[in-house]
Amino acid sequence: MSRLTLICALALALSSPAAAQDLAISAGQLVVDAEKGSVKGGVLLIRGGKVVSAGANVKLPAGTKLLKRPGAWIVPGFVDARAHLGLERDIDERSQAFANDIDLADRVVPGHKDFAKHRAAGITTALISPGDQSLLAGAAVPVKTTGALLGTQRVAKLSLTSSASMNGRPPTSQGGRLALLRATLKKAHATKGGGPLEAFARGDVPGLVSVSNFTSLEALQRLAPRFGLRLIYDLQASVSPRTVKGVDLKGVFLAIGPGRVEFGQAARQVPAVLNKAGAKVLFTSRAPYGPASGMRLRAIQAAKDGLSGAAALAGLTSIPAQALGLEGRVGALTPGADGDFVVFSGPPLDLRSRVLEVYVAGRRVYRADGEE
Amino acid sequence: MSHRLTWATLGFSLVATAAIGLAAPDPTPTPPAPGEKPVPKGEKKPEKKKPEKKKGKKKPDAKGKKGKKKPDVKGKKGKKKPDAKGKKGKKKPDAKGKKGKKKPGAKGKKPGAKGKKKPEKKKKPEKKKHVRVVKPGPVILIKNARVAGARGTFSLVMSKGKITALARQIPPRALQQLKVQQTIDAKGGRIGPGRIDAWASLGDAVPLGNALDGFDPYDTASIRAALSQGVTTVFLNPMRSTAASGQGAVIKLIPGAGRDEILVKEGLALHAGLGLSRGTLTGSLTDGQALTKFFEQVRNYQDSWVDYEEKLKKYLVALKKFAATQGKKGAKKGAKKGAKKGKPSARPTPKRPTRRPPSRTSSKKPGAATAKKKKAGPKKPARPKLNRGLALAGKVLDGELPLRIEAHRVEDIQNALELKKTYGFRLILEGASEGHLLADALAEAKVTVVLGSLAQGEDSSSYPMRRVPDLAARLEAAGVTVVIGSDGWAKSAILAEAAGLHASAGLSPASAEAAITTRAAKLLGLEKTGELKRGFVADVVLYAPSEFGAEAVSAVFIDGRLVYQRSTP
Repeated sequence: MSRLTLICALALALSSPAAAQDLAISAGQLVVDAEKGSVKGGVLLIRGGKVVSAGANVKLPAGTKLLKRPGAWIVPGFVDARAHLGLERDIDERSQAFANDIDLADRVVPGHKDFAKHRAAGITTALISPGDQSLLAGAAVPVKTTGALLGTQRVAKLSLTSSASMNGRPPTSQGGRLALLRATLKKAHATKGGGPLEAFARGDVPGLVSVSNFTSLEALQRLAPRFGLRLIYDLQASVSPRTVKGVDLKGVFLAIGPGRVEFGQAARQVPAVLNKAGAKVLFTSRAPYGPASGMRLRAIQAAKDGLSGAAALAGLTSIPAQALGLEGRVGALTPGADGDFVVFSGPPLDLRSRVLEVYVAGRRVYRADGEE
Repeated sequence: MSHRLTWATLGFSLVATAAIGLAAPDPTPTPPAPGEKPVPKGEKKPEKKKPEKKKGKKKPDAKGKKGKKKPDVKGKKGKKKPDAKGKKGKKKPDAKGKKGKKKPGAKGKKPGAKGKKKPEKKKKPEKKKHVRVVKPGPVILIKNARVAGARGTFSLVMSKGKITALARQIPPRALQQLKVQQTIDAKGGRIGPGRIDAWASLGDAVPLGNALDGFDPYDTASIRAALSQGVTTVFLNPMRSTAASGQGAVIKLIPGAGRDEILVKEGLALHAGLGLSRGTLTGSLTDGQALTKFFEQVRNYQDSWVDYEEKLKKYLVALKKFAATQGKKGAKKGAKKGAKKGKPSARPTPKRPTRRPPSRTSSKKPGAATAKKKKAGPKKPARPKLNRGLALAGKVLDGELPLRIEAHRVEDIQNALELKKTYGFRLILEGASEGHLLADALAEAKVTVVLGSLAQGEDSSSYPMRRVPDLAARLEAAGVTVVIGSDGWAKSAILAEAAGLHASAGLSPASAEAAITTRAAKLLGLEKTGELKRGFVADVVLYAPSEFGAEAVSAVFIDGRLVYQRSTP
């Protein structure tokens, strides 16, 4: 836990100097909330690390210096709902099917080089998650990409893929995994334990569940109302759009891994197909196993193949924030939210646009011409 | 890059090809054929050729003859290149007729000799000369379209395969005159030129094969995938299995169309790879040596022809003298006539009992025949064996074809530059993953660089390359011309993303766009392609109105015909 304290101290140290100051910045286009378009010549005012106001008519307090970024786009900092950054390798504890005592907050290495890569990709919030090798792999921890934790917020990390039965550890089949999970959740739901399993079973924290097909997704969906589960599904394999047919995905959070330029058209269309089926699609980086920038690339590929631009940008910002239970805090530049934003050289879903600057809590943490 | 292992034996195959080539001369003597015909025409041509080539081999500077032709040529590399480019530009439209045309321009001073020679040379290419079939389409008007770099909306008219109008407003009367048959409302979406993939590696090319032979025009999935990303034209690059690894081809991605329709041009360059047979740290060494060895063979081959022509000329003179000494009227007449025509003196040789086709002896003179029969006559020199591969590579040394070398590591790029310096060919560098470390040298050598997609993630090899994300930006800053390709036929769909990734790392958006349109067209010698301008080829991409900058392709036109339209998933 001493490491956790250290992180907290570091976070405090990082955020305190900004606290006293106002930051006012304007750009060619300001995106407050991805689903509400952009404001031409919008201004963003941040005080004490939080957004005071954002939009076309922002009154600046006397004496506030306005930073101008003409021609650039200001966009909410990206939220990455699945990454493995800031950890030393060997991230999974494989000995148990339910690693309920594992808290990744204990494992995060402050100042790890992964954080800088994430910042450079415009990602300001990331969920540091264990892998898929246990039914419950422990508590994933959302952090700012400065390394600061977001309070005591946690997310349970579950897996129904065959990886959860690695090394022949039972249960060995999809049915067995589902049955065991169901039974365990039932028990946990009734207890007052403080582990991620119990918190998830009570619906206190969301669970990020890796699934390799829609069958296990549907099975969990049937369980969800009974326990009040909050679920984010992480689609493992590249899913064929055809298999989506007939699955009710209304309002379901679906996480999609990073893009690769090699993707064929079918893979590129998956997000659009899922979105059409009602799902709230969010994009993840899975860094460092993929490049941090793969998250934005995937969203752009999706937007070029059927997904609306608004849905694609929301899938990088507001949707993952909602999924992680962080809405109102990150993912949109609404009043009271953290002052986390990215300055792009052009429209954010034009791959050619560069990340020029990144701010976390009103403080610049990345500049294209050189690290802050 | 995945083919690295596949071609692990580059060094060997190089040598092997050459050896095979020598042992089994190709029956179709396309390039060196001049040797045969020139002989008769001869007197003058051989003359030219000899000095040229000799100098080529002995003095890389080639000042003698080349100097006369084009004063620029003296500073070999630097000057040669621009020169060459100029030629290229002119040359390409003809595709195959090129050599014929090119040389007259270059040599200009001795029209007589050339005039005679060229027609002959031309004949052969003309047989193969490809004339692209462009199917007629309707006259189409696209209105309310945005154009990059300009405010407001434009109207564009395509007819007979060309862009016939592009303006903010086209008056109704003009539209009537243009006889518009179909109108498309872009609704504020952007129109842009079709994207051109200047580096699409194709399968397992056979040495001396044609990349087009490996292309499946009915692979509509790949074609449509590429079209869905706005790619209309692709340069199929033969794999770099050997130095003479065949000829590439430029094709248009028209689904379901046959070769006559898709093929734009072929035979643009020779291809080689350096350092691709790595696996051991000596890969660069063996590849570099193999390529050097190959070019030595090419030179020897060229020299053998020069020597042959020289000997042949001497022989013809001797033959004439011999005929004269024989003192027969018939013989003299024959000799004279021969001299006038330029070739006839050579005719005597074929007349001997031989296996050659009768056409060659068609102009035989009775006198000559008698001359031959004399036993004391001069001996005809032996004709060198033909080798198509070496002859093709000879064109590289003569500056007629550029050499495209794929090389990634510093040492391999350096080897390529050294080879260029030694042999004076036009170099196009592919890959160049560590090119930023040699950016200035590449700029100085005026080497065009074709970059593939930016490598994503970490290089896990045991000998990782020193990659930088802003490779394109750094090369461009140093003054290198940067073109971007997909490095994979079925992956041409990634072209825009490949360019986009380079841009997101620092290359300017305009350069990123140019690298897959105008610059690619220039590199491939495609005229009036790659831009939206009146009179240009109507390869046009229509994008849906974008939200936050994501531009989805909604329709693609090739030669003014609709070839792709997006359906909603």
